[in-house]
Amino acid sequence: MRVVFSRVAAVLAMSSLLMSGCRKDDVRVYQAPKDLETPPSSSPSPASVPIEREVAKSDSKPKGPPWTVPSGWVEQATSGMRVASYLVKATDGRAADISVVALEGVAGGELSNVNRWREQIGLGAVTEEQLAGLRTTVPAGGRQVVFYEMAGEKPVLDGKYKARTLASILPAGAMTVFFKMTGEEALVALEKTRFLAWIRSVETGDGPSETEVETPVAAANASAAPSTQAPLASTDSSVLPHWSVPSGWKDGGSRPMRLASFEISNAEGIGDISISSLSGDGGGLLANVNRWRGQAGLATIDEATLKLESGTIRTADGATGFLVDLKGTEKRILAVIIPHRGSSWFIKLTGPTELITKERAKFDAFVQSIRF
Amino acid sequence: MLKTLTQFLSSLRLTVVLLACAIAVVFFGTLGQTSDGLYVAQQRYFRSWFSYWTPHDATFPWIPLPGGYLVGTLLLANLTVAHVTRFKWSWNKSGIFMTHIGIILLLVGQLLTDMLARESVMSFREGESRNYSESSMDFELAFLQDSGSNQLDQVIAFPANLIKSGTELQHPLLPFSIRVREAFENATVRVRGPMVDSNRPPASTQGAGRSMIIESSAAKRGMDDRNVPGSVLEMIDGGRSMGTWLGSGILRAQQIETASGTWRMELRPVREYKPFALTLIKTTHEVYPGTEKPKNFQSRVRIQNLDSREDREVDIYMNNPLRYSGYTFFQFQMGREQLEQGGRGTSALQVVQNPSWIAPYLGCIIVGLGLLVQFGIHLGKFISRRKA
Repeated sequence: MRVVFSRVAAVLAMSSLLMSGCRKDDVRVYQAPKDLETPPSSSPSPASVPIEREVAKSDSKPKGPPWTVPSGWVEQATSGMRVASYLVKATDGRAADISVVALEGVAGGELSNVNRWREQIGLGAVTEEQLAGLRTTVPAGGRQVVFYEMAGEKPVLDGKYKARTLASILPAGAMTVFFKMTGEEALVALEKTRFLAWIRSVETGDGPSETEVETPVAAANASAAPSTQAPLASTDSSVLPHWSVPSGWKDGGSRPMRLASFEISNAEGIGDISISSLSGDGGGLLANVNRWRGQAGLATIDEATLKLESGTIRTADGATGFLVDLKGTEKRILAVIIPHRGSSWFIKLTGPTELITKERAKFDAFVQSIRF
Repeated sequence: MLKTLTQFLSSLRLTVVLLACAIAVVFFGTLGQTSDGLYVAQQRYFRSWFSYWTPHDATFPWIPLPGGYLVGTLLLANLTVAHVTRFKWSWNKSGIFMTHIGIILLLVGQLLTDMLARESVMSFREGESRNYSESSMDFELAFLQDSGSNQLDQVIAFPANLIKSGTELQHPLLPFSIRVREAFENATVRVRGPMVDSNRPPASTQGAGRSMIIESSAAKRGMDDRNVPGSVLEMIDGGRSMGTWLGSGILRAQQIETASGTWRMELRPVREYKPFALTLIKTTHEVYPGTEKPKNFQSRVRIQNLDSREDREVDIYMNNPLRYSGYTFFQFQMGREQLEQGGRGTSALQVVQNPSWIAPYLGCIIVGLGLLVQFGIHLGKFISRRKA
């Protein structure tokens, strides 16, 4: 009997041992092979920065959306670049998806976005000239914003429904917000009135100013575009040129659309340096300069005036950049556009006038240290 | 005392009660899936010693239940003790003996599968290589530093269930501690939009979270749903705050600069590294003409194993998994990335490692043979009696 008991005990002990053997709360320490294809990681952050802002408190109840949601639109989960999402469904299963996507800068430009939307519903791409013919304006957020309506000609939804897209682009501070409805052709046409009423109801208010990020006006083939699956941290240091970072410039961390960022913080205020690159001419010198002039509180200028007001600066390897110095009453912008091997590189310093005056020599030295 | 215990454990009544309990566990466990989802229901009803079932509206009291582990262990003990104490070997009972051995093997095999089998997923885009697979349910907060070798990273990985609001995580190899300011089982992390988020501060003061927000989402329990954990983590170096970082399952690695070097932080699915690499060469996604019904999902992958100097290409498709180095790779999912990201084909392989995979097959074969033998013996006796 004792033998029997010991056998039974052994069975029970083995069961217990097996069941308690694998603990899920152990910290694992190991050496692992580096990723074979390392995804781009965000830029380094300063080693010691005090917490300037409290993180989101769980008890801070966010206010409702800054627009009136039309009846029948059902709120959906959001993620990534999508800051709001709704769904409209017909009783027979036809549906339309409504999205609000926010991106920093101009997010690829109007043409590339419109062409991407056209492609999604089975339409061919249009040129910049054709785009102007498709563009209308509608009221949104107390001003006029561009509006596009496009109807597909092929059944791209479930292989049986044609699609229609309504889209509006609203610049908001340093960001661009895309309001879009896409879905079954007739359903979207039916919802158009509500869509227009919806964007008309948008209250723009104040955007997040501390994330003010600059992106050059994009060329037609710029890669960035609003997408719910767009990479969230996308700095690829392997494409960066070499440069010498002046003393006092701190790494500004990873920002969408930027290849690198630096920050200057001193008694005069905070300065922001952005480095970005776009294929082609990045929208052109005049368009970018005029956009920057608007940010500095200056009036737009024409090509002839631009020639008079822009200078040139050379990098360490001999590339020539166009330099503009835009002095507003409170804000001053120093910017250089360097065409290089089919791309345009944008180096821009934004900050209070006194700070820029003090940092001007360092900015020039930084640009002159660049080697592609 | 010993005699009483042995009589209890070898009792046929216990067998009947345990089988009834097993039926109840399966019944309520199946009902529980509707509210808890498959994964949670498995943990709650089957991978537990005790559980209870609560109806949806919870207007009447919960029903206490034995857990799957308790029923399985007692059934195993019941069968084993009954077999050892009561069974007397003879050729006439050889079929019963085999059947008992087969059932014991099934029970032990199931226990071993539960303990040892691992399932994970290897996802990649065409042209990408992977030397690891990832858990589809569990996350870890990993800190990585270059180990000094070109090939290796030093990894310190905290399981996600340690990341709870208010806790502080430490490890002797980390030059800083991690204070968990907020932690969510399922979180929405998105760009901090103008207008929409003007009254919400950024999720963190450092890294990618500076231009994002995080908010809690309802935990998902569905079979095809997946929770993406999120957290706000404050790094403390020698009592001094280094700032806060946003940890999220949708963000790529973020860097943390310290006096002793650069670390990378990533909240990611738990990884299991392999001693070989697979590269996705090509995906084939065929549908029946005129429909969206899948006809063939096929991934052509290249296996590279430096140890065995193996370098070959194989096709993985439905009902044709790759069995390699103790792992089985099943074609799981297939898709295509967005056009602006390159439009490449994507594939996900389910990676299964089960050292005890043979046990249920052997158990069933032995039970089947045992029943055949036992019925054969009875049939033989019956025929002999009729002839007589």
